[in-house]
Amino acid sequence: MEKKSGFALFGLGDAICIIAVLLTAAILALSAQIMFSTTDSPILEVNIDGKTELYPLNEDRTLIINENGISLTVQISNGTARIESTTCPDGICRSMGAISHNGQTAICAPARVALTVRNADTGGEPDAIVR
Amino acid sequence: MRSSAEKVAYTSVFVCVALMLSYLESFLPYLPIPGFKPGLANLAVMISYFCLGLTAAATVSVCRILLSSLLFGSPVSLIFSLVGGILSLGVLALYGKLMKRVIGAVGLGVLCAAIHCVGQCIAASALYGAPLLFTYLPWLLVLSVATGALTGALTHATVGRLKLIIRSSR
Repeated sequence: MEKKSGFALFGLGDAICIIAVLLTAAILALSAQIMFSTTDSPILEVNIDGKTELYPLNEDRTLIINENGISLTVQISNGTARIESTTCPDGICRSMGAISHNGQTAICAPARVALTVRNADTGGEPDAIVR
Repeated sequence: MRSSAEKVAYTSVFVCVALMLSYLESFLPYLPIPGFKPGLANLAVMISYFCLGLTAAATVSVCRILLSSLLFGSPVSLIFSLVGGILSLGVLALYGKLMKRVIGAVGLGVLCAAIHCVGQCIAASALYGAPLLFTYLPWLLVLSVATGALTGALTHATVGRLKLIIRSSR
């Protein structure tokens, strides 16, 4: 019985592909290390449907965000932020865990809410700073 | 393919297979990275590419994304999947033109999976303005090597047998 699929399974080209992808990953991860070194006063950037709010990460507080019919509870404590609870059925954002380092992100896609930790001096132009 | 009706019939079978795989995937927990999926549906796209050609693969991919977003996803997941899916189709098109002699099934699977992740991260970065390309993409790329190699190997194992079935059904 003929079982030829007409193309190779694995060869030198495939090894090069894998190495190229892994190399890209390593370069991106390294540049992230360099670009997003930790800072003394990180802030949490809360992007709600395109609007940005900033919260200092070293002050404990609880944010309740209602957006796109989804209610999110964001807990800021001990310099970390996490999405504590959500009414969204997916719950992907909860599994993103706590974020504390510059550049780390937690996203709730259905609610169009993104949490990003940033250095105090690289936060860009905020719409509002909440203290 | 003897007739275009035959091609339509086979293409719709592959759309069903892709949709079933998407459905199965929607049960998997988001491990080890939130938002990451093994991309099993891409298996159906790659197999349809080798059995029926690029047009069929594009049809399977786009129909699968539209239907699965409608059934188990959201408008946002539709945008993410579409960007990733279209970039993956680009890889398939390039593969047919340039790389067929150099790259095998495993390499093609890895490239498709990796470019899919890149597309999704670009879409997410554009939507949320978060530096996902640097913080999130590296981990997705490492995982996509594993899942891409798996889908590539499965494609290689399946296509030869499927071609026999398609040929003998004439």
